[in-house]
Amino acid sequence: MTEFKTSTSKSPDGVCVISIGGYLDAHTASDLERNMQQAIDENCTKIVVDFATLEYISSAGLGVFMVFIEPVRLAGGDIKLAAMTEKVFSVFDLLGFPALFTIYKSVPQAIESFSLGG
Amino acid sequence: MSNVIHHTDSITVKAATAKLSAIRNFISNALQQIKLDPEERNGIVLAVDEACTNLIVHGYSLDSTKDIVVDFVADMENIYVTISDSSAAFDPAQADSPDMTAYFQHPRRGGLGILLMNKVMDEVRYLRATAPGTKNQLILCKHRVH
Repeated sequence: MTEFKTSTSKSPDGVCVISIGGYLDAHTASDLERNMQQAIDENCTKIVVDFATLEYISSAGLGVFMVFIEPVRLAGGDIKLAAMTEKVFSVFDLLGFPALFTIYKSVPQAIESFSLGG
Repeated sequence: MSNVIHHTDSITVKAATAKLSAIRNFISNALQQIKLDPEERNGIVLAVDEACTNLIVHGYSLDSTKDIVVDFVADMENIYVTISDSSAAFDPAQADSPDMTAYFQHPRRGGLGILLMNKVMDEVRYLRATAPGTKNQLILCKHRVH
């Protein structure tokens, strides 16, 4: 099934939490891109992506984060990734993405890292 | 003997990204018949997705009237996935793989699929169609560890 879900919520600290679930591939990556663009258009540059229910990612999904990371950091924000399954993490790890993105065990840890200046 | 075929299967789909899930399901189901480490299983599914995505986007330029044929063969020694197409030739082995250090300094979309494919598969071979009526073939091979 090509099923992909994404939604956005805002933490009390003003961090945008973008939740993604299902299968993120070349067919569904545009849904995530649209959602991230909308968050940025609404001046949210502190972004946490919640991977808890994401079952699959291909390079087309990785590409979405690559598109946004530079402009978000230039605007003083960051994109932090959280709660990945081992299967999804292994795709990030294969390409050395942990060197570019900070990956947290949980969403609360990722949100807290913004207030700690991490 | 090493070349006794254990499992063989085939699927033909239109060249559309909406068909990627059907291709992944086909490979996942075929791999269910094979004793394999889950990480290797996930890697093969990913490599086939990347190969078909490249073909759909670059080879066929999103022309969904075109066909992709995916053949799966497993013997005692190897798992082969062959992706056949009639697009203008696109040899992943000839495409540049990004230098990841430079890539991270100037992030951009794309260019990672072939790198992933080469990382998770043991062999990636491309055979360009040379006669009318024949197809290009991309052969992905994973050695089985016993």
